[in-house]
This record gives sequence, C-alpha cells and structure tokens, in this order.
Amino acid sequence: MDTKELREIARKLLADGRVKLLIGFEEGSLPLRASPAFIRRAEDAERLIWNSFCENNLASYLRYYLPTLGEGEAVGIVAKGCDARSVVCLLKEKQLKRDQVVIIGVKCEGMVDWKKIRSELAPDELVSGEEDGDEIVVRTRSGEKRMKRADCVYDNCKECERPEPVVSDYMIDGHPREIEKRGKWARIKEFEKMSPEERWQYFVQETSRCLRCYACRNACPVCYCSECFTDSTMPYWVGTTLAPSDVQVFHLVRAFHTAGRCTSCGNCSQVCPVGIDISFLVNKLGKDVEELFSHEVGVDIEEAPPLSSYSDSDTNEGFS
Amino acid sequence: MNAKFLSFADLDGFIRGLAKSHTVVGPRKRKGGTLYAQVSTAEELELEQTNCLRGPKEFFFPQSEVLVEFEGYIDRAVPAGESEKPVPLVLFAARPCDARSLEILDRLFVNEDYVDDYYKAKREAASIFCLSCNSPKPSCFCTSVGGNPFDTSGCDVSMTRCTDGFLLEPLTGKGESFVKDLNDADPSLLEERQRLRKEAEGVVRTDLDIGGLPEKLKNMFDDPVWAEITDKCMGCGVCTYLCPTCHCFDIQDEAVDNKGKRVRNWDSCMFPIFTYHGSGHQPRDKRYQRMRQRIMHKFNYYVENFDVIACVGCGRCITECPTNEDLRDNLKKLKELESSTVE
Repeated sequence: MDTKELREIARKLLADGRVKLLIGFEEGSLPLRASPAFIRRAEDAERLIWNSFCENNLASYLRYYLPTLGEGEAVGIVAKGCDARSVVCLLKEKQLKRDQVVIIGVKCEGMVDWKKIRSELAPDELVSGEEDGDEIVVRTRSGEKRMKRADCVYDNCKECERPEPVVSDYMIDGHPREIEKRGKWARIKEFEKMSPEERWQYFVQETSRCLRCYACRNACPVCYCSECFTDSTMPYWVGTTLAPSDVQVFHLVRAFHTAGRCTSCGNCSQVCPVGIDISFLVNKLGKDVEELFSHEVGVDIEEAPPLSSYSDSDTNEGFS
Repeated sequence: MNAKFLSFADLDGFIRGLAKSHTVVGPRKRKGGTLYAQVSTAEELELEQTNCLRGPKEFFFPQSEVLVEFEGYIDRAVPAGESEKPVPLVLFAARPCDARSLEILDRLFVNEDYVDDYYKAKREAASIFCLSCNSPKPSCFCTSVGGNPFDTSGCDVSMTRCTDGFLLEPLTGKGESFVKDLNDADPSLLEERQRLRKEAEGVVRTDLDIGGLPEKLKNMFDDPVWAEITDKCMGCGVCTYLCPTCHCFDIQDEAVDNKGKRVRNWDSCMFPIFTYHGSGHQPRDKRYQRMRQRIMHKFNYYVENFDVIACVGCGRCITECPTNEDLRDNLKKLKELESSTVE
C-alpha cells in the first residue's frame, strides 16, 4: 500500500476541517509493534503508517471522542475490515451517526502475532525486527532470523472472510501479502467437537490465569457500557477477588453481552497480558447467533441487531 | 565474607538444598509467560529471559488477601492468618529492578507511621537472591530511575552469571548463611563482573534523563499535556497490575449469609471506579486524570512521601501495554515541556 496516499488523505481531511481528529497508527516504540496515533494537525499526518502490526481495533476509541464533537464535526478513522464492521455495529446500535465518522478503509492481510513470535524466540529475546514483504525479520541476542509472515499471522485473522472494509469513505489497498485462509469459525468448529465437560474444563483452566485487568473489555469496541456490571457497587453484582466463580461470571456475562455484536476482531485475546484466548468463548456464541438468526455481524447497516429486535421468523430453539 | 562461586553443574544441588527448608520461588515458564513461581530443581528455572511477566510483589502483597474473617457482626472479626507464621521464602534470581521494587514498597508498608503486619511478616520471612542483567532488553530503563542492571539494593545475595558459573556475593547476614559452605570465587570473576556490568550499562537506553522531573511535576497538575499523553490509553489495568511497585488496593467485604471475609484486593488508578466516592462523586472521572494520577504518584507524590521514585524501569508497562503506550516517551515529554501553565 501507498503510505503516501494514506497520509495525503489524512492531511487533507484535517486541513479542510472535515475531521477534528484522525485515529490511525504510528510506529511503535518496540520491535514488531505499531501504536494507535491521534492526529489533530494536518502536518502530523506524516506520522501515519500502515504495516502488519496495526492490530488494535480503533473503533474502540470512538466512545471517548464522539462526545467531544460539536455540530457537524467528525472523527476520522483508519479501518481494517474488522474495525469497519465494528463501526457498522456501533451505527446500528445508534452509538454514532454516519456523518460523525470519516472512514479511511484499508484492505487488511492479517496482523502479525508478535506475542507468538516472542514466545517462540524465548528464552532468546527480541532486539529489533520489522516486516520485509512476505517475511518477518527478527534480530535477537543470538542473531538474525527470517520467518514467513503467513506463519506469524493471528489465528483469528486466518479465519477472517471480510478483510476489506464493508463501509468506507476512502479506500486504500493494503500491502498484498500471502495469508493462509482457514475459513470462518475454523477453531470454533474444532472446539465444538469437545464434550460440554471438556469445554467447561478448558474455560476453567484458561480463566484461572485471569488477573481481572479488564484489558479484554476495554479493548472491545462493543464493550461501551457507561458502567460495566463488574464496576457496579450498588448493586454489587459480582465479587472482587480472584475467586474462580467471580472471574468466570465476568467472562460469561461479557460473552453473552457481546454475542451478536462481536465482529470477531480478536482484540480481546490479543490484549490479554496472560495469554487467555477468551475470543473462543465470544466466538462460540457469535457462531450460534449467526446460525440461529442468519445474521452476519457488522455488515448491513440497515439490518436490525439480532438480539435487540423481534421477527416472526426468529428461531424458537430452546423455547419449544 | 568473600564472594563465592557456584558452578552451573552445582546449581541444581543448591536449589534442592534451599527447597528443603524454604519455599523457593524463581522465574519459571508457565502457560501465558514466564512467572515467578515455586521451583524445587534448577531445571524448572528459566534464567535466560530478562524479566518475568509480573513483578514479585504478589508474594508479599497478594492480589487478594483476606485480612479478617467474621461471623455475625464485623466487631467479632478474627484476623486471618494470625496463627500461621509465613513460610520462609527464597526469591531466587529476581532481577535487580524487581529486588529494588521491594525496597521501594517497604517504605510504604513498613514505616514510622504505619506498619502493615501482613506485608511485614511475609517480607521478613523472605530472602532475596538477585541475578544481575547481562543483557537488558530494549524496553529496560532502570538507569534512568536510579537503578542499574547490576544494582544490588534489596538483595541478600547478588548473583552474576559468568562464563563458568555464578558469582555469588552475600550482602547481608542472611545472605551469608545461605552461601557460607560454597567455595570462594576466583578474584578474576569479580573482574568479569565489572566487564559484564559495563557491557550491560551500554545496552540500556540512556536517552531518558528525568533529573528534576519530580519537582517540576508539582506545578504541572493543570497542564493540558495530560490529555495529550492519554490518547492511546484504553484504561485497562495491565500497566498497574504487572508493575512491581504499583500498590494501590481496595478493601471489600465478601460475605455470604452472616459469614464473611474482609479482603484487600489490588486496585488500579486506571479503573473508572478507583477512588469513586460513596457519595457518588468521582474526583477522577476522565481518563487523563487517571493517567495523571499514575505518573504523579510514581514520580512526584511517592518521592515527596518516601524519598524515592516509585518506578524501577523494568519496562513491563511498555512491553505489555496493548497499545504500546511508552512511559519513557511520556516522561520525556513532561520533562521537555517548556514551562508549566500553573506556577
């Protein structure tokens, strides 16, 4: 992709006052990282970049900046396929108006799982690194290594069938890169082969590492409740310790609350500091909703959200 | 006491020996990352990686700690764990930044005005072996906040990984008792340590000079810069929970029927309910106010109260931050800011 084109669009949007703020990505401070960028002046558009490390779902930030917009003002956002679907979801849920956001869509080729690279290199440590075409170059204490980019992409991205934004005001081609496609819900289909008891044990095991830092919740574009039930003290819904029941209740309720709204961006798993793949839980419910209500999340702005609308044709499964 | 030598081959026997009388905790590979965890053999230790995912504070200030147990009214409460003496603990191969973090926490939990018995008992029962950092990471900045990859503060025994084994330098009486039976180290190892130290110091990023920042921050409370450096923050607790010196807590009663426990849990200034008043007033309801609290607490308030910066430069908040917000960049920005709005 042409970074020049991205910067030029951003610069123009800011210079013309079309957007007050542009949310994109800039170079991270560590190897194999990019970092969300908040650009307010046209000349700062030069900081924008696009590469395989732009993993954050930027739609999560809209909730902080939409309330600051005046009449006729807008926020610009650089959106991958998943970010754009999250924006659609927020539009459907009336969290923003279409003219409050200017979307610079980028066709995504999957993001690179730097934590996986880090753990594969361990105990050796990453000193520097970058992407080079279809390869990821890493330099560690013991020397340089080249890895196939396709092998380093998040599992979640391999299952993505809509890497191209479904909605955008500007569209930029991503870097054409090789990516292995596994088909939607590939891991969930495997997960479903387990018995309910095995699934429960997996859930118990994974969540036993949870620190309750809420990174999964805060990174989630649809976790925008002004007060999360875990933060409520009146009533006091859930205990505050690391007791398994309290931790599990948090994850279960969050999964239920995001079902039919989650776009499977995978951010909840990516941000987890203890490596809990919580997206399996959310995705299982997402798959159920997709099958029961024939609804693909974040695609059609006009279509009503499946769990907050009623239709005669809704399934009665579980109620008969 | 002279410096001692422990060959790589003898490490296992040494750990097994320690484990007979102590709970030995050291860096250990676990699902999700390397953590400080109990070990009983050398094989279980992961000594190559620079630092663990989490600091060692949880062994002295657990994430959830029962303070008292009660039945009926709270005035009939019984302090929890009073009868049990803490198990003697050896924190083995803690990195110098982590060892230093405990010394920083000590000033809060055990001081002239207040002694936290829960913390103190566990701390007194612990001995710290620190392992100097021969190869610091790109995220390390200990030298900018008063530390050093070969720092020995807070340690009972300082260990250096040399070519053929470990150089062990006992620094306290407690430390001496652990190593007294080992052979004296060849003086050349002390020279090797000096050389390794120089090399390591050369690797740590040094372009961050925060001299004078603690005093400067005092007048920066209302500066617009706080909002600017908060943009990336998504308000989770990763930085505070992984931080070896963050120590804010919340006390809650967890009760079922008439039986309950008063629990002390880690809290995070990044959370929307941190310092949320019972009246419904929230003095820090904006993200930037919470970011300001975190930086002010570490680099100004703690310095004023306890005469030390509450940051050891371990870099965990940088590497693990989901958005790669870099504390060093923020400190630099704060330091370089021309003047402050409020004098």
